[in-house]
Amino acid sequence: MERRTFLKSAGASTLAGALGGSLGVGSVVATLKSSTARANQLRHSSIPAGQPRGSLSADLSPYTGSWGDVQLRHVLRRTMFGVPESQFLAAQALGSMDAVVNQLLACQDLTTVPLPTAPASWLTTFPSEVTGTTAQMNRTRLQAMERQQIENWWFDQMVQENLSIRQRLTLMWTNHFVTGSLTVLSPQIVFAYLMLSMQYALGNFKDFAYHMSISDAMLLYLNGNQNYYINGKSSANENYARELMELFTLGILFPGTNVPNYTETDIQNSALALTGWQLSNYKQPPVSPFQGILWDGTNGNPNWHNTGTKTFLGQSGNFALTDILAIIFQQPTYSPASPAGIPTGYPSGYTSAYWVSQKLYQEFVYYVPNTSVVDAMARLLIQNNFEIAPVMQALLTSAHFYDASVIGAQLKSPAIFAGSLVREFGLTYPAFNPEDPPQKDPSQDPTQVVVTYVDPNPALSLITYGVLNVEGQELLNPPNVKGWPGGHNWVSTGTFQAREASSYASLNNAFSKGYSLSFDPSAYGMQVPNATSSTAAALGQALENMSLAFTLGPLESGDLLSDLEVDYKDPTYQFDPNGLKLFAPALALLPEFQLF
Amino acid sequence: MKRREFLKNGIKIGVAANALPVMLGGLPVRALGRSPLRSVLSNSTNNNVLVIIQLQGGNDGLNCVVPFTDPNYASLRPTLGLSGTALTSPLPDHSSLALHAGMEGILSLYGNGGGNGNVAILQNVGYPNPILSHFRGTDIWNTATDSNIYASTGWVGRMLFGQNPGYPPASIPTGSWPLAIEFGSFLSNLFLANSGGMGITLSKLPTQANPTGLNYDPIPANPTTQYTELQYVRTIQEETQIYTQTLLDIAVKKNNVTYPTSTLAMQLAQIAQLIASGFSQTGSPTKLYLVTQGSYDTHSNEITTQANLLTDLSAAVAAFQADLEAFGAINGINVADSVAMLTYSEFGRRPKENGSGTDHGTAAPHFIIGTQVKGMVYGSDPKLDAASLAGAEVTGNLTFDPLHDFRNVYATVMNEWLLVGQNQSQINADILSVLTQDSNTMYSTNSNWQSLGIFKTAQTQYVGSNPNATGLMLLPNYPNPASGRTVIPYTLDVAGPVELGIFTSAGVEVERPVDSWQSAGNQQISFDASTLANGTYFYRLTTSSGTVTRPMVVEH
Repeated sequence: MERRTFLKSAGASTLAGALGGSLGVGSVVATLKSSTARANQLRHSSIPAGQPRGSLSADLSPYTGSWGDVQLRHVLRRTMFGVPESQFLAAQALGSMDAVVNQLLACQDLTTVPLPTAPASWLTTFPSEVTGTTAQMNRTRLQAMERQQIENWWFDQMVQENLSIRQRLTLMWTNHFVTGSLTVLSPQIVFAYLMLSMQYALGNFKDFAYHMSISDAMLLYLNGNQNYYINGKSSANENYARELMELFTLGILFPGTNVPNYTETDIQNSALALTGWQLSNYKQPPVSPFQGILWDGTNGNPNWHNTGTKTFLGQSGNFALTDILAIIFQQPTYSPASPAGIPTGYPSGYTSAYWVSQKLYQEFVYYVPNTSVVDAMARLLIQNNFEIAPVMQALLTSAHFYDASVIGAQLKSPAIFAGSLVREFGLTYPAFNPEDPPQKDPSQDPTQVVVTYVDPNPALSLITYGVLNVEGQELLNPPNVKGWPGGHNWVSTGTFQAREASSYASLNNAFSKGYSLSFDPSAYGMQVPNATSSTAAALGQALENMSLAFTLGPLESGDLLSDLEVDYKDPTYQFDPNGLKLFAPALALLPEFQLF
Repeated sequence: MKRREFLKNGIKIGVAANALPVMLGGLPVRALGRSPLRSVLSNSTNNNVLVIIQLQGGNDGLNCVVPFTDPNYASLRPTLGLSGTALTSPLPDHSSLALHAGMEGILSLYGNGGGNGNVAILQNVGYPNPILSHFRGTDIWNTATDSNIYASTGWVGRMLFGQNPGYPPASIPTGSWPLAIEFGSFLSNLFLANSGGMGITLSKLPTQANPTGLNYDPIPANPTTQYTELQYVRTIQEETQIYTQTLLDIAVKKNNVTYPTSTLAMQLAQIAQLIASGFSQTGSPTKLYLVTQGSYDTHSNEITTQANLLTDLSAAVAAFQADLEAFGAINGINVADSVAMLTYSEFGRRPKENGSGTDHGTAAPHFIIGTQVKGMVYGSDPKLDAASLAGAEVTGNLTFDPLHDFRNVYATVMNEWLLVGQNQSQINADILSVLTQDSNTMYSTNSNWQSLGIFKTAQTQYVGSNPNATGLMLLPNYPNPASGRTVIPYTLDVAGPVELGIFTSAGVEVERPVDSWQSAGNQQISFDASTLANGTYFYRLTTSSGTVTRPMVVEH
């Protein structure tokens, strides 16, 4: 009997035993059918039944259970882009949960863990303006290539990051304070926005909101620079005012109610208060890489900011951005009650704190928020004046976070999926090449006036453009201001084929040579300590543990093992790259690998 | 071929920079090995297909169907107002309106209007208590609820689930067509039912089969959260594999016309192929398609942005329509006569411009396009006078036409197009379960939906709370619009007390021409509308066996 056939029938009889016991064959079949039917009632559920099931702790009380490999791998998977065995072992050496979480959050202190530096001067230097159709066309082509390199650089940062939550939070913030690189266009402004998101990844949310409000990227993306008041005439553009409240700070409805947090009048009045901000100036070096300029009357435009009285969320005054943000971060206020109908008893700042905490919960725990835990996070956020780090500290050390039903329940976003492939399977590519400045294609006909630029990082572009884009997550360019919807939306019939194809192609070295993304089966297996002296079963189990948050059943693990033993000829197992070459793509094609 | 061999052989695959993983070819498919179950698909009794075109971001209706003769329009839009060559010629049957100049293709389909064109323009489509948020607004349109009711399912998903209550089957039969197809990455909640997604998303028509993995261990009984998610992934994998294979196996009909190069046009071209290919097999297995175009969120630079979008929209729609018509009849089914298009957008935009664009607004015109549409303008031009704007529910914005509540548009599409062929009481019950209430959820406090008589099938019956009133009929008044006397015909199924009242759009009864005992059979009354102000009214027939309502327009 062929080994696979044997495994299948063994699996089937185990299954029948488990389900049917000593029942006759017909009964076993009936049991199987009803089990399938039960699973099918669940499988399409688009809105899961609310909270993760199980005996969940519904607050932030600390985790006091054993600190084993399962818990350690869980916290690493949830805070990074896949976990290679080397990082798991490094984290294991730290000893305790607190030590690991502290290490993950150490990037909060920029004095000891500074931001990565810009690899090329074109990222921070605003180019001079060009005139003429051809020059502008070439500038457009150059900018597109440069934006592609920013995506490449960032993905490389995600993959190269050591034990740190920073890039995962940065990605989350670019999906919270959303801008779109294809609207912003200027690579320098896109880069400044990315660095701002990285700087505040674990920072103070209030400060973050202020700096984001006046960042060039946001002013461009939501038309803040076109919201002005000139010569007593208002051309208020409400785009930013609305999304600031709806998406960035408050949400439409007060938590758990159908009571709106603001009215259309509040939007119109805050838009007036936000008039006057202009770009930090594309044509000149910016005052600071992150900061816009408020026209203050000294530039011959004394009236670009509306100085009239605005009534906003029940308060009146000659408000500007700082006042608007201060009032937002006071909500709910009960005197004056604004707007009416919000239940009493909530602390000042609760509305925003809840909104932000919910986002954090959905990103790091489960996409369906547990309202009790989010409530606890919100209150902690208020106590810490909207500092993100203490809330993340509490969440990542909470009993809720380590509950068995939470582990493996999240769907991987394309970036996390690609990061897992690269890091866990050890895909390699040439080091990021910043090409300062990007080079024209030397093979191009020199008489051509329209310049073609050479992509200096084709393997990274394969991932960021070819894979992430096709799977629905082009970095720095979400579909709209609400960002990627996440949850079940990450895995759909429209993108699933691309996910499987990317796993299959990369782990079979099936991309063309020019893309130089390569997989070495032997190095993959050698990540595991004592790989060459392990049994096939032990090696396979170790590799499954690295990449899957599930313990596989007999059918799946049996098939994987038979792959690993493909050249099995001798009762003494020999470490076998050919087996790993089959094992790796089979593992990555498992639905379990879509979850983490 | 065994999986091991296909994995071992590996396949060297050339990758072009502009078409990366989707170029992978030759991956063999491995069946999941489940026994095929009965098909629960394709139970429709007609061949009608609906292509829904979502204009994402909030299309500016006033610069799309332009009331260019209204002086208020020009004063509200000093820089954005369209005139002269920025417009098409006026609509042949409606001289106060012209289309954006980029919409020559749609104007051509409009023809001479007057009920004979292929484009129905529904004016002032909206809903009470309008929401000006993109995302909540989109949800309201997709989930078809009152604006203060929250639902997680879409109206299309609910309708399809009603037609296919067993969906998804325990195992999706090989060769199945999806019930609905969306072009995009993420499945819209338009297609969600309580059982999950009723449709699939495609980024484009597949060119290769999808690999499937191992035999799977069963999901544990009473699964914890991660196992319900694992089952979700397995289902997506199965759907991807089965439907990909279906679409690969069909003999794709080639397009008859050259489409423009926009993404929308490319997607409509593929939909035309799918529809025609479907007719060549077993009717039209997939009845619903969704494509999206945008962003129409023109807070700034509206003139250029909207022109590009509307030009693309119009050209794509015109090419699609021409392609459908060129297919002629397949298996005795006229292709073009079996397809209608419907546009929607989360809101219209503010009448008063902000300088270079417009902020979020409320009501807007929408289109239903197809050879089976009675093409003309439905409803009155938008009211742009200062008093109307000041008195609107959201100050400064347009007021929607109650007859053109977007749920009435959906009711129309269901009653006159998608559900045609069932008996009327079943259709009425279906529509109520989609738009008002089903066993799970209430979607609206309203249970009186109006079929607007847009399609030539002319099933313009009332959709109301008494679907059993067979034999009771209230017919369209004529002439309509009415200025002086208009005749209202009706048929009574039983003798008894009868009331026929005339109501304003706000529900106030202004006249009661009939209030007496009448015998069964055909009846009619002549009603004098000369004393009524211009506007939309309803006339309601109340009898012992039921209540029926219809709209009537008064225009002096």
